[in-house]
Amino acid sequence: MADIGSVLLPQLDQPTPQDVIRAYMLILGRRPESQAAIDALCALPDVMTLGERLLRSAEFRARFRHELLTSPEAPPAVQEAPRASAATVPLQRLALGAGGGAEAALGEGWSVGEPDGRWTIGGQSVLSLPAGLAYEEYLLRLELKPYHTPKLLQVEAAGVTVLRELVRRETVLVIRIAGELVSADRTLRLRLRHAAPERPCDHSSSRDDRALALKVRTVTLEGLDRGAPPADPRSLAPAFESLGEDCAFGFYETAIGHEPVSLFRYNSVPLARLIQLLEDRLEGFPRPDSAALVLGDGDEYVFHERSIGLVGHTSFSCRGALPTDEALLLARQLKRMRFLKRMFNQRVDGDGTIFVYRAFGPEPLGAMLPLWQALRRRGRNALLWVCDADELRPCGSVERLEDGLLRGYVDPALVGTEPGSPRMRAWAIICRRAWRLWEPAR
Amino acid sequence: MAESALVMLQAIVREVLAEPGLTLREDAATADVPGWDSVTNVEIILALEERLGVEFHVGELGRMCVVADYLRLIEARRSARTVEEA
Repeated sequence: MADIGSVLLPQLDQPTPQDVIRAYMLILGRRPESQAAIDALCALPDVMTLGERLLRSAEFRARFRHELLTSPEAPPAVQEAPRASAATVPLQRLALGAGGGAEAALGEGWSVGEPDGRWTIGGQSVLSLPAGLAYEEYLLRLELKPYHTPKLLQVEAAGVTVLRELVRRETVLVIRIAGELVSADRTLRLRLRHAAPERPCDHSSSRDDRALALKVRTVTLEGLDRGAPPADPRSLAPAFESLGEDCAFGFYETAIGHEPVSLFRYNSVPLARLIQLLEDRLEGFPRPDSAALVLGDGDEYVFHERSIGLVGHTSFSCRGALPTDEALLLARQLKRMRFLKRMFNQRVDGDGTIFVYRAFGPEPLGAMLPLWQALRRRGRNALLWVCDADELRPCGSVERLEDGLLRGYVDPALVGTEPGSPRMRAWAIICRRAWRLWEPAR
Repeated sequence: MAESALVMLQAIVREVLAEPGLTLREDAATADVPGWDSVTNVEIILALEERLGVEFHVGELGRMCVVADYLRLIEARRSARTVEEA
């Protein structure tokens, strides 16, 4: 199993060609036979439907029926738990079988309990687990087996995908879940999506027409205790400052109720200019003869400072504004800019700020090094460069590239700017991890 | 006699937000005051600097979440000025 530590996998979108190739390799053990096959499967509505299509194929059934029939007594495969330097604290252990007392945790999509577990019914099943005290991370263990043939399982916590796995036989899946995915009432709400459920009546003389996918024996939840209290996003927020290029980090700050004075929160300059501005301490900025307010897409004036290519929001409405108002508004904006420049220079010259940079598009590491070096020449700062997540670098993960140079990953498909939305939760996880990586050095 | 910090702040916030009837409470979160966002916050701080004749440092403005934080900032700067003048 891939390292799924606190992974936020991509959400349910129409499959990409890469999704189709991965699904073929995962389920059929080979690459697609042709580009036409890839194109056809890319038209499916989402990745789970893609998995279901392959799981129902004759090729898959022939391949795995043999495997299942020849090794029915294979010992349960226990997935290796993610490495953690933390102690685990048992929080919940539910036996889903009859008499296990798990009913209160079960939502839709479950059958009646049997002596050794409980079958999922239909395409999805819901579980709600009391998560107890707040922990930064949790370990969820699912002891389960597939019905008849391997089943594709996707587990979502609070709407965020935390696992996508092909369950081939009886196994224990270990899933690492970030604390941000536990709801405010301290409940971990899980949705198990299971593709291609099958009816016993289709395989035997049984009259059982339930659509079964997985039999879950036990569910356990443990808290990962690192001996430190969980970090409140607001308490960490002053350690960070946006450098642009987009407004994603500014939206996150608003979502957690932090409204800092920050030059590049809602203003943006090209990367090369940003590096030069850091080197020059923004000398001469803003130049009144290069500054203008222009009409934006909505009813807001947009500020341009052409000498450095800066573009930014103003919150000035242009609805009903007179030309004379425009000159006054520009003077106010220039005054704001001078103030924010002073604040920015003080911040960069100080110690220990984590500057966050998220480019509009992909940037190579080589483009980031001068930015990191410029920040380091001014103070003992860190650069958190946030890129798009992919299969190898999951959303929410953060890696240390150099002393004070961190790279975080966010899934661009995640949506929402309201508090608690998947995208905002992902940013909270990135910030906490970046802070943990940077704080000891600081 | 110097006006209280709350009266000063309230006058500034009323002017910046163009809300002449606005009443501030010490325990109010700035995020709960309609119109007090990161942009208007800059103008409020600029007006405070002008009124007090000071320049704030970014380190003083890091955790300004409730009205009481601003009142403490005003009082601290006034106290510092009194000490300097003495």
